[in-house]
Amino acid sequence: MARNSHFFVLKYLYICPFTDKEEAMGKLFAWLDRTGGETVRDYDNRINHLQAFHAGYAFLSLENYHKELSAFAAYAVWNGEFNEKLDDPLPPGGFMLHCDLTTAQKICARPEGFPVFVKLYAKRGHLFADEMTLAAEGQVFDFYFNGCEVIPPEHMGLVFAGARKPENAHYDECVQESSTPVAGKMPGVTGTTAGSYSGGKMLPGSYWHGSYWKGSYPKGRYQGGSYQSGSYRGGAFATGSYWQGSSAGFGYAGGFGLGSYWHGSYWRGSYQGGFYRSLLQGSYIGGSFQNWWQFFGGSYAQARFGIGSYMGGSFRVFFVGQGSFWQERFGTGSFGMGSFRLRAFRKGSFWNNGSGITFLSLQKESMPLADNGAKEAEAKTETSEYADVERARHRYRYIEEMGYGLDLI
Amino acid sequence: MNGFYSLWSAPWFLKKRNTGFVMQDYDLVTLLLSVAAFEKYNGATKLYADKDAMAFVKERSLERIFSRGVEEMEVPQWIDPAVFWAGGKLKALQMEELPSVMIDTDLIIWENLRERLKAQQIAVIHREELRPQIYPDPHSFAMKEGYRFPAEWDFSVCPANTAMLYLKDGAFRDEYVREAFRFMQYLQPTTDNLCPMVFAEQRIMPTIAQAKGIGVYAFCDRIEQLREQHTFTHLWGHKNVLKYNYDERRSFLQRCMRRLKAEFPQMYEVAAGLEELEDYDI
Repeated sequence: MARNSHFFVLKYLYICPFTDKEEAMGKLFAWLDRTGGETVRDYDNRINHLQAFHAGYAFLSLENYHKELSAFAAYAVWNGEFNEKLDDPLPPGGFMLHCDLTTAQKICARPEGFPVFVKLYAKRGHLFADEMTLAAEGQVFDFYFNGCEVIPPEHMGLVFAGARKPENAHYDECVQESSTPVAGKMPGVTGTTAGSYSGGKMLPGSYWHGSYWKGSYPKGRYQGGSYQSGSYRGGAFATGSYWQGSSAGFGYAGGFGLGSYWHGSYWRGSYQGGFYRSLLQGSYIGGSFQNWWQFFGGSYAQARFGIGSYMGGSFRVFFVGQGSFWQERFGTGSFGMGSFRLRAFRKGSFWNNGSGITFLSLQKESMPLADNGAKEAEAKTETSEYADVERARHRYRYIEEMGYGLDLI
Repeated sequence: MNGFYSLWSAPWFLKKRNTGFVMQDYDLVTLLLSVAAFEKYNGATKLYADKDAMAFVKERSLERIFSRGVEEMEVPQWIDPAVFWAGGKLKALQMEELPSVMIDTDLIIWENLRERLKAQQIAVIHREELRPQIYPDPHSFAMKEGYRFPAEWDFSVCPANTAMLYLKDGAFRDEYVREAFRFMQYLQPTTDNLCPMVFAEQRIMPTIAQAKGIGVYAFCDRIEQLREQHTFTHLWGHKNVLKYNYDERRSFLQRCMRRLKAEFPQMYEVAAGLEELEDYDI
């Protein structure tokens, strides 16, 4: 079933009309750019230690489910601004995930799509999408590209069109028009996901829509985890009524979960003056930077940084000299690749006992290789064993048909 | 037996205007494997590259891997790289001294071809089916005034895939390239980046051969046979997987590096010295 014809023309080309789109869209993923003083190596380090974040949605339908493979061919819609920053922007089609039929039926009962989390990888200043996962029904699925064919699910029309039926009233905020050009989209994916709000929770795609947020929702309806999955736009928060009402901050400190993003414009004037502004403006936070209030309030020793947390910019200055904190709190792999360099941290011991060192050791041990001086025969044996594993993985992912003679390598 | 490769940067710049020409890591390692394998099993290789591609090659001192060296080519400006993205191959073919084997940079030849090519004038990797969506009736192409297909051309001849093309005769080569270029020149501006290209590259050649009564040898008559053969590795559509699936890309690159290390130690040294491949040398 895998074929190389995986570029599709989207059947439903409905686009959200951005109001202040150009400015806001340009800022949302600005933290994926290299900053002015950032070297290529520092950039690579920063990106490579980000946690996976929410970058798009996958739409699933049973017509794309292959019983014989126990796998879905998935149609993905990516955040256009994010996608544009990739060296190779991701296509909409060609992705697959595995699940049994029961799970598939359960998943397909929900037409809004499921968030796809993407781990980024940077190499020599170039940005790539690395491992991807899809979260659905309390499970996490391996989501990968193999070039499979996919039929754009019919129900995307509903989601994209924001049909104004009574039962879909929660789509009404996202008025969409066809063929409105939007910057930064893949060919064939010019339709961004619709703004969709329901029952106090952000549903897939809502963060694309600029007008969606403009003060139209009552205070306090978005408490807790409703904002997880990165459903934010920069400028919207500055004027949204919700944020004025809950600016005490503590209530949603935990809500900035996976992939959350906030920009300096959000903080301007809304929070406690210059301190935060200077701290956050131009900074980037990817991943689970939790309990930030405690962190900013100075009680940093109580703060916890989730796996993949990253700080840049002025945070570094803030932490100069507080080395012990890092040792105690960052031992979970967040910066554990052994190559992350933030001079401001000044704590060598972290690198020596961090899980990253262990990771590298394990990696080497689990993949025995011939030394440089090893005999060719040994190397060939290992190559062969390795190739067996590769072949098995290709079979699992149905990748092998995309070229020929690949197993001869 | 000689072989040659070509790199044309113009199609690259259509998509990535803001960066210099680069080869992706998987393209690079495949080229290294391809050159290493061809030099080991068949003979000397040469690279033709345009100015920007040549700069990329020389910055990395890659000219040393081609035992017949490198040569800069100038692809005619009137060739639209968006439509005729493989036009550089034909230019390189025009410059190459025959007999020789034209090899795509994503193709690896694992065996000696000398015996099988000894009696051949023309050889290709495989024939293609005449599928109308890819190979439409040539008369459906919108051509400029003054163009006529030669009367002796028989369009029922199956196209030939030129990922690997062996040509013995310079006169035939000249006619093939001339006719392909003439078609490119006379085609009305179009956004179709498939049908005109494959017509010029893969259909004109066997059609001329048939008109001249020259047989075209194919290593595989049907594309399905490619899955059973042990002579060629062709990345083909797999490059798309490598492009969008970094997990796969990483393992592919590691596999290639291992193969280089195991079988082509000299080329491995070159690969290990390249910044693009340093992460995959495990």
